[in-house]
Parts: sequence; structure tokens; C-alpha cells
Amino acid sequence: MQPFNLEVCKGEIVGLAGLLGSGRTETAQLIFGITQCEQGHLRIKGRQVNLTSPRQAIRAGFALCPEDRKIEGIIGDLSVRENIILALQAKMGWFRYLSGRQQEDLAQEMIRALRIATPDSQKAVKELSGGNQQKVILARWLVSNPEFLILDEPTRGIDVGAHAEIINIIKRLCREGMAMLVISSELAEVVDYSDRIMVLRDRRMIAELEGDQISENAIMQAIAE
Amino acid sequence: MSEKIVKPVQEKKVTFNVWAWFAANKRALWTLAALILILLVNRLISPTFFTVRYQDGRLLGSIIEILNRGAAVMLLTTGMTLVIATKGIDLSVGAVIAICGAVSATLIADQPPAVAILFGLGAALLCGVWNGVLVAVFNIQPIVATLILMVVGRGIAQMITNGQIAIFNDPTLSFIGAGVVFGLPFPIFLSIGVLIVVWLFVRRTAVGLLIESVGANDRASFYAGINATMIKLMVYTISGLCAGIAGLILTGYIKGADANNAGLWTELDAILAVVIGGTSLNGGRFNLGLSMIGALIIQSLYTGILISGLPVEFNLVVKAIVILFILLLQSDSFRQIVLQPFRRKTA
Repeated sequence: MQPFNLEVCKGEIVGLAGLLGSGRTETAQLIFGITQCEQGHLRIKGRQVNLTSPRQAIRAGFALCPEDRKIEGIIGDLSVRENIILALQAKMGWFRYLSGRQQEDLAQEMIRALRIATPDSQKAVKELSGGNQQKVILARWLVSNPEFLILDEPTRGIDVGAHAEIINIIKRLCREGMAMLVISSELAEVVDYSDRIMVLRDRRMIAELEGDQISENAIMQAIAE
Repeated sequence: MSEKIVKPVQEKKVTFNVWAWFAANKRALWTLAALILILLVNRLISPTFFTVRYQDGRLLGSIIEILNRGAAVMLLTTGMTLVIATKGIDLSVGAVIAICGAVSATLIADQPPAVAILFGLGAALLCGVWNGVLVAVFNIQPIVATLILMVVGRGIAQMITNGQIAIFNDPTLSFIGAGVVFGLPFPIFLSIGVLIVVWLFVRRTAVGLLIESVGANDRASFYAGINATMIKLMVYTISGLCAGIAGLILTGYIKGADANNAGLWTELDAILAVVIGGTSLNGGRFNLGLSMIGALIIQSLYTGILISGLPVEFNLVVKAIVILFILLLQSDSFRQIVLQPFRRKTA
């Protein structure tokens, strides 16, 4: 990755646009502590932090819905409920175990709020549809109460209905004051919900669009330049 | 999304559907059925199989003997279940038995029993940590990482005992392998006690869930903020400790440490017990109770073959055939293929 500056504020959605392989996922992984940068720093609310693992990023209030749902997202063999509480439980540690009652309450709350289509919370997550799996991963992060949410291709490989629902969820979370960084290949979608858009090409940040500048054409132009 | 859907809370009808329960626990029931079948066959071979006598302040009988002699395998199986659930394997437990036994049996000559036992267990713990570090920190494949200690472990044990069978005559250490409490052999209490402690540790805390998560998908678990390194380090350590306790039992039972033969091939029995118990070698879901039934199946077979008086060379063949049969019974695809011709065609 080439050096870049990126700032995300509370209640703001920043879109990351660019072609496949332009460095969008790498940017997300860098921020979430999965890979480390050679130089540069990260400030949260003005305080400099050094994140070297997802664990630390999560403790700092970050969350990442990864691009590859099956490999990096869901734990297919575990139930919907277990998948939903997983990040929160990992954050709480080994010995402060959420009781069955608390787990069920959290799961039911999320199944309702995100309209996850599942007969019950005990179903193995691998048996759900792609859109519902994506919602389960979103739910996993929402119960862990993050301040900054990174979504990497949140609507890839999802049916139309779930697609619209996920976009609604993104907008609602933004209204509730969450800071968000959303990576998507669907320009219409990014243009729709982003307050600002960063355009990447060849692992370089080449443009930043804001306000009225945001349009599909402007992004295409920036990429093609 | 923002509108609240007000739904009356539906009271779920609690009806216990026996058939649904059977269907949900099919695998568990087949495993249990296999154990019962083996016990019944043993009863056919030896009419006194289920008889338990009370003599000289202790209970005697084949069933008691299965639990007693099976204690070591049960201990190994307890640790092995957790290791396999993280998609790992621990081939070194047999060697750890030898090391722990050698350390304790050598130290007991001029040290108090508590010191000998603690150092033996400490050596086993160290072996577990060693495996854990290789697998969790250096990311060496578990089968290779634990193979190292499997190969070198018996050598270390022989160096400790100077190549001799270290014989001792200490009542405390031999009590661990051959003592009697409330009329029952002490190893039974030890193995069940360890099982309960481990069960409480994994199922009454988040540890069990985190183990299953790491085993089912370690990359996604890493993304979810689970410290997979600590989890793996911990399961190998527990496995080492369990092997150490099994080592004390085997050493106490024969009042000596045989570096070459103590616990030889028991790692394979433990792995088999876990697999019979339904934990996949691909990691993920595990069930300690079913693993124990697996261990009991192996031990019952062993005892059955012994009392049947078959020549020794038949032992392994019979064992292999029966275990193959059990695994086929549990296999959904096998049952489907076999039952296909008998199934009524449903349009």
C-alpha cells in the first residue's frame, strides 16, 4: 500500500471505491490490525494507538465484517446464537461466560432487529442463506457495541431483498452515530449512503469526493484517469 | 427497520417428542448401543460378566475391572477430546506417560512421595506446554509437532531411568494405581474426578465455545478476536497433564516405570475413543461424555477379548473389526447405502 490519509468521524459513512485489487481490502485489514503497516499511525479520538491484532482493534471499539464470509466470517458449525455472541464473549474473556438466558436474549433481539430468517437460534449458521449469514456477522459485531464499523463488501452474493435490508441497516446505524467505513464494488450503492468517498487505484488513494462531488461518474472518472 | 413489531410473546409448547429427541441424538444413541452390544456379547462369552462380588473390602467383577483398567484411557481421552476439537492431535501422550512415570519412580527412591508425584506431573505439564508452543506459537502442524515428542519421549524416559525398569516400593505412589476407596479402585475416582473438573472448566465457562470456534474455523475466530494461541496452548497443556495422571496410575499399578512399554500405543486408543465419541478430526463440536463412552467401548472390547481366551494374536484383529463396524454404524452414508434396498419408495 502507498501512504494515505483517512479520517472517519462519528455518524459518518466513508465509502472506499476502486477496482478489484486496488487495495481496498488491504486498507481494511491494516486498520483492523490483521496486517501491520511499515510506518504511519492511527489515532482514535486524538489518542495514538498501535493495533497489532484484531483482538486489540476490537478492544479499541473497532469491528470488521470481512469480505470472504465463509472463510473469515461465519463459524459454520456453530449455531446462530453462538455466532452472534462470539465476538462479545471473546472480548469478555474465558471466565465471564454469558448465561444461556443472556445469550438467547441477545440472539433473539438481533434476529428481530435485523430480521434474520432462521427457525430458531440453535440452527447451524452454515444452513442459512448468504444474506442471513451476512446479517449474523453484522449481529455479532452489533452486540459487541463497536464505535467504528468496517464493512468489506457487505452486499456481495446476497439476494435482492436482503441487499436492500442491509443497506437500510447501514443507514440506520449511521443515524445512530456509528462511524463506518464501507467497501463496495457497487458504485450506485456507495454513492447512495456515503458522506465521503475515497477512491483507490493500484494501492494508492487517488481521489476524495465529498458532498455534491459524489456521483457514479465522478468515481469512474477518478478510476479511469 | 425502525418500526417496532409488537408480537405477543408466544408461549412455546413444551411437549417432549421422543422420536424427535431420538432423531436429534441419533449418533449418541448408536454409540451407546454399540457399548451395550459389546457388553452383552461379553456376557455371552462369560456368564459371570455382570456379577460383582464383595470380597476383602473391595468390589470385584469384570465391570469394575473395565472401569479400573480403562481409567488411563479415559484420562487420555479427556485431554485428547479438547485437542482434537481444536483440529489438532496429540500423538505424544503415550510417551508423556513414560516420562511422568520415569520421573516419579526415580525420584521416589530418595524423596517424599509428594515431591515425586509433583515433579512427575510437572514434567507432564512441561511436555504439554512444549507441544502447545510448537503448535500454537510456531504454527507447526499438530501431527508433526507431537510426533517429535512421541519419538523422543521414550528416549528421555529411558535416560531418566538409566535404561532400567525403575522399581519402587512406596505405598502412596502405588495407591494411585492400585488403591481402594469405598470398595472401588482409586483410578476410577481419579479419572472421573478429572473428567468432572475438565467438564466444568470448558462447559461452565466460555472455554468450550471458544475451543469449538477455533476448531471449526480458526481464521474467522481470529477475526472475531479470539486468542486462538492461548486456547491451543491450553488444550495441549491439559492433554499433557491428563497423560501425566494416567502415567502415575500405570506406574503405581505395576510399582515400576517401564520406559519402553508404559502406555505404549495408548495415544491411538485415545484418538479412536474420541472419534467413536463423534468428535470430528476436522475440529469443532465435541462431547466429553460421548468420548468417555468411546473409551469404555475400547476397554470393554479389550477385556472381552481377554476373557474369551482367544489367542493373543487375534486381539488386534478383533479390535479392528469391531471398531470398523462401530464407525460404519455411525456413518450416515453407510446406513443409507445399506438400507436403500429395504426402504419403501415414497413418491
